[in-house]
Amino acid sequence: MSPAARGRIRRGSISSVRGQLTFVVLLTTAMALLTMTGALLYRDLTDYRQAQITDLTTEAEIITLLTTPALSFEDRQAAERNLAALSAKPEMLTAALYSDSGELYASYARRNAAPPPARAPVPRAGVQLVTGRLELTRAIQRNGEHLGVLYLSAAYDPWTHVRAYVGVLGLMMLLSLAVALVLSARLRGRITGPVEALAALADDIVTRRDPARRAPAFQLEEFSVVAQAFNSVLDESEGRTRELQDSNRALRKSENLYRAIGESIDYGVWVTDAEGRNIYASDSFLKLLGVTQAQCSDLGWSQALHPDDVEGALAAWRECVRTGGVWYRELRFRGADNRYHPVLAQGVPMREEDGRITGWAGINLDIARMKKTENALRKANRRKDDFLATLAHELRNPLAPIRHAARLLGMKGLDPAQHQMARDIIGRQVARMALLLDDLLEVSRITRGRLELRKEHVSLAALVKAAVETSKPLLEAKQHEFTVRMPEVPVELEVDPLRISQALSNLLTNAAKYTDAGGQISLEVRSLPGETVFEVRDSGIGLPAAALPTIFEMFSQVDSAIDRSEGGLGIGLALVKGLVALHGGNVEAASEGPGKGSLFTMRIPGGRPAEPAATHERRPALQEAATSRGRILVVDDNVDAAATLAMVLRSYGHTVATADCGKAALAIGEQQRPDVVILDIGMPDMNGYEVAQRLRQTGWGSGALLVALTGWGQKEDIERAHRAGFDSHMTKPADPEEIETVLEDFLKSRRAAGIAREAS
Amino acid sequence: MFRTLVVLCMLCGYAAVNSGHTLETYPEDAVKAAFVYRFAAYVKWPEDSLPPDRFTIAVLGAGDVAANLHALTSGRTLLGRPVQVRQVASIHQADDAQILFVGNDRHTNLHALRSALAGRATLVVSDAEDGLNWGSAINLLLVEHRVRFEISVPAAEQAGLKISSDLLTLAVEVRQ
Repeated sequence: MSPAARGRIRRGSISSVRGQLTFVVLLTTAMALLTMTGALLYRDLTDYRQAQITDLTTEAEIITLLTTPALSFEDRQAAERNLAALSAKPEMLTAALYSDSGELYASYARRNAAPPPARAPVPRAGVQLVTGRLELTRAIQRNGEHLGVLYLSAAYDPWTHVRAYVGVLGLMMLLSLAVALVLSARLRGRITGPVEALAALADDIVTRRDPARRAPAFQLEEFSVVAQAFNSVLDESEGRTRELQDSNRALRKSENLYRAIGESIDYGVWVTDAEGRNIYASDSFLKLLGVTQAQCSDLGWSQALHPDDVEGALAAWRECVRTGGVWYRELRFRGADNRYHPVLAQGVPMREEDGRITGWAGINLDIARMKKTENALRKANRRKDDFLATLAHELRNPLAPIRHAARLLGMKGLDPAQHQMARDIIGRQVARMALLLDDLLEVSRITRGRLELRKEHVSLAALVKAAVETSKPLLEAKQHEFTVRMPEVPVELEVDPLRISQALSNLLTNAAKYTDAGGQISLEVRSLPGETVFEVRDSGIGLPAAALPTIFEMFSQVDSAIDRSEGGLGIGLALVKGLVALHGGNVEAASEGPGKGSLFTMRIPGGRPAEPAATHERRPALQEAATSRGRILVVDDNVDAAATLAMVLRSYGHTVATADCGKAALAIGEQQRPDVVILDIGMPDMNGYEVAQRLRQTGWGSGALLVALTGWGQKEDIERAHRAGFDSHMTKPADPEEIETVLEDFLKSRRAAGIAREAS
Repeated sequence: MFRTLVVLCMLCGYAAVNSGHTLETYPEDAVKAAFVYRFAAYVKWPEDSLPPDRFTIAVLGAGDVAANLHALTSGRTLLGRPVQVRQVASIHQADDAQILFVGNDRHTNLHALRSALAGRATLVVSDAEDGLNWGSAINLLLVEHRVRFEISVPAAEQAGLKISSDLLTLAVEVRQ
């Protein structure tokens, strides 16, 4: 048993089983003894009285017998003698004999006893009980003759008698109680033992919470039954406890799950009561606001709302509570950092089975990033709109001079100088447009991840030379002072030469463009360990600090620069960044401010001193017109396009025919058997791929050079072109120079093959 | 009122009867008659000597005592038998009697006592100074003016009678 239980169950106290048992045993014993004592006393008293009466009666008989002779023969002395014999009996108080005439004849009286009546009392049957004594009055007769009267009086004191008796009974009672106590103590062992064991067990289970404890078997049947019942209750309790624990565990698990879900939400969850008063908000939200739950409770959260939002939000919330609707609202909360945080609060009403709303529960989402993205998107959209406007403008710009030049060329009586000027105008404007479109396509490819680099080992000098060549017209047009500084030793790079020179020329063009005429522009190329650095410096309009972070983004332009610029789509720098990034390098802009010029630094990883043996010049893009001419068929459903390309090719000395559809191409090809066929892909009757396949099936076509000229420059398009039998693929608008290069190569190799054939 | 009167009258009557009794002078003859009658209670007669129908007390002389006995015994029984008191002229006439009282006036007759009643179970009560000498079993005498008696056990035994010790203790003298 634990000390607490021993404290609770005081041994022998009246409320314990032990005490009750002892009490009951003692009580019943005492009751039985008292009843018995009463009965005994009563019996004894009755017996005593009866005995006394019998005694007295007997005494009277004897005295009658004794005194009858004396009375008969009137011997008073004898009578006195007879009566005096009564002194041997202590209880006899008085005795008297009366003659037949009623006179006192003889008497006896114990000392201190009252004297007998002077005259004979009337004889009565039986014995009379007078206070403290028994009286008897008898007539004495002999042979029918009345001789006289006998009067006897004896002491009757039952209490003296009983007193002694009660003493004995009391002793007996004490003895019996003692025996009862001993017996109850022995009983206790058998009855209270198990009860106390059960009590101790119960106490153990309660205080120690040991569910495995069980009651032992007991000797007494009833206790065994109790113990079994107890055990089965324990079994069941254990089972239920386990179930409860399991369900608690499950509950905790699901609680943890919900808490985890709640914590995974940006600003946690919130709960309100049926009246829409907040009663719970996650710590993350309280932390954001820097308040306690108490401060947040009810409508406390609205204190942290942006002043502009408070009224509307509260009204909407009241309306939501009134209608039992779904809550969905973007709110701005002033955080502990004193900044406003955009939060999307959304929640739904919680309902009882009967549909009654018990409250709302919902979540707080951090929509800062979303807002940022939204803003960025809006900005990007605006930029795109700007770009489209610029693009339209930029595309439109060259059209006017071209149109004018074209009209000029259509006039009769122009002198050769005027002819030349018109041609130059057209050539320049077209080159500009082509450049513009090239850039666009390139950027598009880069942003879509479609651009593939064709890396090769090239000399740094060749790269720079190509770039400078490209930029030269503008540099010269604006009469900038242009200087180039190269590393002292030749350096070789493994890059896509076309892209890097393009990037570099873009930087140079950019510098030329944003520098007022007669400015200073310098290019310094340095070979550092692990990287090659290109620095383009100008004395131009410079850049405001705010523009620096976004200057390499697409469609970005420094607004103020638009007016004075040569125009532009704002994609040049984005293209540079993309191309350089493809090479693993980077590009940066720096400026001390508007009007203070700018510095663009392009870094390309790699670059080592060129080994003389490995060095070879890239073939210059611009070449003199080849002397060997070929027969060419240009096929395009756009007749103008075909005609102009034909014109250009003819100007290079080739024999050129045109066709405006696939069938015509096949027919003309069969007739003229050209060395080279330049095919447009998108044609109405049959597409370029089909035409190519058909051509390859002809005797002459199998050996011809087939060049695809399309608006689509994707990798799949190129592959498809190769599968269809094309030797080469070019993206519109094709650079006549590039076409010429391809033609030249082909014709050269064919010639070489022809020479070889002839030689063999 | 009437009730009270009745009670008073009764009390007066009772007192008158009682006072008449007590005021009587010592009635010697009545006492002697009573004694004779009472002796029967303390004497045992042989069973075969008793007639079934009567208990006879014979009186010789002493007419007053006889008269008293008559009065005393009328309608009474002794030993379950009706008492018969009979005056006799001689002792011989009393040979069937259970008790024979010989009066003082006839004490001379006593000398015939032994011969007359030999072998008879008769209790002889005499009233003479030397009564016992003449062979009576009980002899009455006056002691201080009161009637007493003396007993001769041999005389009684001769008659085949047994006298109770109670009676013996009351006797003035007992001859053995």
